[in-house]
Amino acid sequence: MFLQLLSFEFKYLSRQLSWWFALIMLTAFGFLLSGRVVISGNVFILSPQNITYALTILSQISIFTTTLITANSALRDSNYDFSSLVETKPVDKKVLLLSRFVSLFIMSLIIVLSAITAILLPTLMANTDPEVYGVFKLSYALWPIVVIILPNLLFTVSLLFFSAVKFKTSIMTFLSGIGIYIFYLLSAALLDSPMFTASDPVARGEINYASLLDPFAVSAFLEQTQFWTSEEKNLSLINFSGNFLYNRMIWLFVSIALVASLLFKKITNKGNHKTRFIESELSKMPLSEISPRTKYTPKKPQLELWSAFRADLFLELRMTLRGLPFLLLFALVALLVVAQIINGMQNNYFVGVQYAYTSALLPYLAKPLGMVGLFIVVFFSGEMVWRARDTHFDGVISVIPAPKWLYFISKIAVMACLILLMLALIIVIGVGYQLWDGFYAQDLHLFLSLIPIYGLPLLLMSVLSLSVQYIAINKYVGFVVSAGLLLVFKTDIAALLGIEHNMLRFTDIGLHYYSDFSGYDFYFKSTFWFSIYWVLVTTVIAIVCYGLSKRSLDESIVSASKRLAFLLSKGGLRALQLNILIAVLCGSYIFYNTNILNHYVTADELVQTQLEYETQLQGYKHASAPKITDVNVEVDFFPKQHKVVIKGKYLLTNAGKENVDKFLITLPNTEQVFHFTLNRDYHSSINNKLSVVEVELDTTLSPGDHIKLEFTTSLVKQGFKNADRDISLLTNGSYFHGSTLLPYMGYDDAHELQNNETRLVYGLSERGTLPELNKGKAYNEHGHDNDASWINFEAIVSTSLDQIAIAPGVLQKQWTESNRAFFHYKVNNKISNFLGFATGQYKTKVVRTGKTNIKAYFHPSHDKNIDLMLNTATESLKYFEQEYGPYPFPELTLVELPNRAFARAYPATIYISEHVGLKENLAQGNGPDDFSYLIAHEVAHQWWGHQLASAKVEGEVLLIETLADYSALMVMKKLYGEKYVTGVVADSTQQYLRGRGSDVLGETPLYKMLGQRYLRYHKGPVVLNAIRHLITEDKINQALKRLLDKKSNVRENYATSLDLLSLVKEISGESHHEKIDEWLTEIVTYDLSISNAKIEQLANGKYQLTANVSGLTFKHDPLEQKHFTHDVTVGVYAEVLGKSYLLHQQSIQMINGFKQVTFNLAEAPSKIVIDPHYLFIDRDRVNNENKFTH
Amino acid sequence: MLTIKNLSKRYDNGVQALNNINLSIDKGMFGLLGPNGAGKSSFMRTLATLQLPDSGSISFNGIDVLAQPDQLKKLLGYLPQDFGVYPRVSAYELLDYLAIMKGLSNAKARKEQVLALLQQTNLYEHRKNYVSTFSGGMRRRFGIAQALLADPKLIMVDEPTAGLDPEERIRFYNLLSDVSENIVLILSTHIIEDIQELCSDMAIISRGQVLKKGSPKSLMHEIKDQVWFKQSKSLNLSQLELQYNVLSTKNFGTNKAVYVQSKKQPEAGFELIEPSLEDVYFNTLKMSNSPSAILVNEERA
Repeated sequence: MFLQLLSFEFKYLSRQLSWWFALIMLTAFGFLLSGRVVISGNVFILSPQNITYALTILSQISIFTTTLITANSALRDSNYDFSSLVETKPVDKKVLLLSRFVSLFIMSLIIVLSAITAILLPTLMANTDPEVYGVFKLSYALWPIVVIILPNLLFTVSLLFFSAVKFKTSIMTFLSGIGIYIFYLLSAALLDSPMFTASDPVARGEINYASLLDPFAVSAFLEQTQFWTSEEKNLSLINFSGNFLYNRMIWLFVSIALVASLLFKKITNKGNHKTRFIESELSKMPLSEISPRTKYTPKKPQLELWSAFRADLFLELRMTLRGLPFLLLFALVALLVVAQIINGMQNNYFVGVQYAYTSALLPYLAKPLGMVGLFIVVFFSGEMVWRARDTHFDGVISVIPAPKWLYFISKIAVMACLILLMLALIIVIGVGYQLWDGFYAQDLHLFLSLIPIYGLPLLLMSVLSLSVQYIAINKYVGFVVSAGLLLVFKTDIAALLGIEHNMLRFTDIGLHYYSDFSGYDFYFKSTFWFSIYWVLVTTVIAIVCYGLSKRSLDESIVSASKRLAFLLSKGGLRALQLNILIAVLCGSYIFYNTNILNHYVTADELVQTQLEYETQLQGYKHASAPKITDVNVEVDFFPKQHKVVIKGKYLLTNAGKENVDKFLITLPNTEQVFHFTLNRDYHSSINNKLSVVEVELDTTLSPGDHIKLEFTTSLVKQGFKNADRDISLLTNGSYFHGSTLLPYMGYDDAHELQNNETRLVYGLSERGTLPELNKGKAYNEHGHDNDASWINFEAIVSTSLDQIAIAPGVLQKQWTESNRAFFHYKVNNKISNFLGFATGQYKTKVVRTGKTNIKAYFHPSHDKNIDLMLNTATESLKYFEQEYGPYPFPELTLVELPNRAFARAYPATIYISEHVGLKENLAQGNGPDDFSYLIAHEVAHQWWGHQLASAKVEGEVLLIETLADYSALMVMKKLYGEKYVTGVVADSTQQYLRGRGSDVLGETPLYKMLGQRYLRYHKGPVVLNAIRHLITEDKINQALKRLLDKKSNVRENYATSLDLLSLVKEISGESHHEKIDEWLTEIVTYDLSISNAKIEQLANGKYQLTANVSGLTFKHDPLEQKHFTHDVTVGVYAEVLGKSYLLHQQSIQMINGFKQVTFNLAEAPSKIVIDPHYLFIDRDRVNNENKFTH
Repeated sequence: MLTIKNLSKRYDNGVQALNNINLSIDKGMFGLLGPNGAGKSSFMRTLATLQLPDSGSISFNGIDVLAQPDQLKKLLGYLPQDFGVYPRVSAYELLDYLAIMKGLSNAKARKEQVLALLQQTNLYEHRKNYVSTFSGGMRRRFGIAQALLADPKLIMVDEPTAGLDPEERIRFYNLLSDVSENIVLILSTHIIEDIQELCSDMAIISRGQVLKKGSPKSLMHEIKDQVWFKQSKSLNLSQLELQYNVLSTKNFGTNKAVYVQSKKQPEAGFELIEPSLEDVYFNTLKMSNSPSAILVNEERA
């Protein structure tokens, strides 16, 4: 019987539109995933790692397809009123339920397998380059299907089936589906899952709650492979062990328990017969006869309309708000928002704990509105429309004399109320959080801006969804179409389909950034116009759909649309025409702004322009161009007008050995207006598309000869753009980096196509990296040598009266003239052409240290960390001046920038973006002071970067970024002690180990690094700190000082990492050379461990500690594993009142990678640690330590 | 033989749906009559094992229905008042599915039975069409077909002819009559003439209680010579209702008619008529609702 029931189930499901839709959608999604590397890192497309991760993504998306078919199938008896026919049959309920469950599982599996085929088949058929695709083995796909897909699907189907049978409504089933997804996301976010790269790496063997509680095993999978190298990821299947195994067992158990509870539930047949009231006989008797003369006096028609509208609105609201779905969904939203807030404000990776500024809080309030908002819109609007149709109430409604469109409008009003309620909830939670956190400067305007920015698009989406449901032939088609449309337009799918312009992306009101500096600034205009446009377009859609909904029951939409004018009454038709007219006008105005007044560039066009630049201007690429030797500019900011005007004078020199007859000027910004003159005769032609000017001199410029170039350039925002990412000109907080506006002399390879993969597609060679580092060679091009080597620099910057303007250098003079403020900056020695200009309504604070003034310019409400910043800057200056040499300027200016998330050091000026720490809550106990670390790092750049002249060669970044990091670390040691350093080094070690598994370029040894983050900011400081422990801080500082003495302010034979290496080795003495070489010039990791540690109390009261110490060394190039041969420190510690102190320390030399150690101690030890100072980068730090319990 | 003893059910809102019902129902068609909310549906659903009573017992052919509902289901055919059908499933397929659930596991025998039932209900030509495209009458016939699966011994039909045209109605009853000779068939309906014509036994239920039980003939005989009829343009209905035991009144626009129960002629213009089952019905309800009205009549008599 089971098989016979099963065969019916298959027949039934395979005919349902929802199953086919789910099949097509998931397969299409699989197709989209095909041929890509979806996991970060350097892995083959057909590697087990990539395939496994793609399958986990598929698992998650399949929640939604499974939900759809489960709701349809498991609830069909109640949906179609068939239950009484089934329940009166003697079939064993267990067998029936099981047949439905099994069929659901199998049919869902078919969908998933189809999607998997869509992922793999195209790639397998196109399989060409094994360097990119790898070599495919069937086990790479089969194994993850067995250990990941099958259990995940089993859990999903079990939970959804359970929910359907238990709660008997489709909404609860849908909610369960969403619930699974949200539970999975929440547990990953709150339990520090490796899915978020910011999480703490999990040491092997540690039970990680995220790995266990993630029903899809994504966290467990990532956790197991987090330290795998690229080779391992390309060849190894995931091990069915550890957290991964436990996870599968847990969730398998849960799945079985859920299904079993349904099957073995005692069936208490109370029946769900709805109780009815019995009318008393009396009430059945008619009241006294209705007098035929009772008159019905109609009210004024407008009042009638309003009463009908109001009545329907309250009725619908009541029905919606009283239902369980509403309460559950709102509880869900609340939960999500709270989780987002905790994650973003208390656990933020970049800034730890944030002060509860409204501007910091807002993104976390808005995020849940994405997916959940979509669900609310689609579900509630659909339910409303079908409630009337399902309960057959529309027959009654259709005879009421109010116009039908009134009921459409009232449904829109209901959705508006729902959305407002949701936003109110979110705002209340936000304000509540701020008050709880002790923050009382609420920015109510900003909270309320959620309404037009998020509320309006949601409302428009509701209208679209209502419109679709009005013309849909049945409920499921309606849900599927409205959800599908919104998914396409509201996610990246639209971009993939080439829909980029906001006028085509439904309810997209455009990009916008908010900053405490200037609010939404110029984005107000674009969002305003796009909002109006979408309101109009949505109204048009609504009117058309409303008209079509009035067609007769058996008429198709297509034939109804031909007589749309008839279906819409006169009023409706007029409204439609009017709306279309205004929409067209509005659209034209927007088009004029985005495409005519401004350049609208699609992604493809951008690529084409880059290609043309390279191909057409090849001739200039290697030809000599005149170099800039003097820069003298007048920069005039007009903040309120979003305008900047620059008048500049370049002194150019032919620094080469050949004559120059023609050269190229590249304009960085396609929209800047540019005029120039030279002090000799020339011809020029401008190419607006490529943004260049080709100059041909009438008389040759011979080597050593000079030319004066005078130019005027300006940039102003006109109208508004489709997606304006340029925040350089704001009403408050304008800033631009010199090379983004100042003309570039020559061919600028920054205008070339950057992405190597795309270059290959177009037949271009890969972009070159840095020149090779070779011993004994002199490198005569410095790092910032582009269109200038060293320049004299002077600038006068002007701005509006209420603002301060900043340029690199020392402020010479400031004055006001013609109602504007002027600032004159100058640098007394030559600098590289690395300039930045800013203006803003800043508050100022100045401190003095030695002979230097340290100035801070900041936004008045971001003042909480200014004192800390100035203090750290002071301590940094003191330390660096003492150890490295004098700071060359009488002042150091620190300036805050809005929005961005970087810090940048110019000569005598440092820019700190508001999001890198000025708004961070650095009160006690809120984590390490990483803001000070950043400040010290930037100050250190005044030596490493602006004094040390480093060559443009492999390993240059070591001398700039790594030395800055190391120097900053020493300042932090001074401020917070060795504990701080240990914390940073421990974390950086993990970041390095994780980062190298994701490297697309391939790892290089430190001294030849190409700028990889995990090397310059993580392995680098770890190694330098290790060297410090090896040779002492004094000695390493001596080496650094010598480097500066030799290579500061030189004009040739610039510094390389080889210089640093030889200086360090010179100072250290030969005994340390092996280690220093290994750490700086090779790629080596280690695994040291302690095992079998025992304590024995001796007769004389002393303690004897014995332990086995072992070690391995892993060399990378070529791959080699050998015994650890270095000497290494072993430390024994005791703990008193929570603080540990050293009992005994000894240097150990292993033989064949092993040694047994014995120590006699006066006190009972609490732990033994090998390599307590992190000299050796250890793959597994957990086994370096053994704790003793007493 | 279906024996129901002391069947009671009280709903959560305090309504006593079944109030100590005692009935014995033998082979043949048994009619169930009563006002809306009388408990007819509750009674049917309880018998059909769709809901449990608070107390009482039901036994059918030796089966304790409440203790072993599955045993009854093997012998039961149930046609509910309202039901829907799965979309995109043909009549044959859906009936076959229900047949599997009924326990007809042998594929060959099942196929035979399904096709035979479809023939019997005149659906054979449409057996490959989706049931969801059937008209109301066809759906009802499908419902009957599934109720007849596996030779049921107890059939219950609830308002089976609602929405059928006259021809379909007659055909339907012909089918039922064919089948009901040797089984218990309970028919619940508002159409009193149908019960009068077809049923050999019946009960009138109101407010969860059995008010009357017996064959239609014997019930009509009980009030023989007590039903009076008057028709005129100028009847004061409200006046009459106060004075006599009015069974029912009819308005034909200006013409009015009234039926009264009385042991002797109420007043001039009334003529004696043969009681119909409708009269029995109204009389029974009246008696159960207002004992004082009867007293009034008694006095007058």
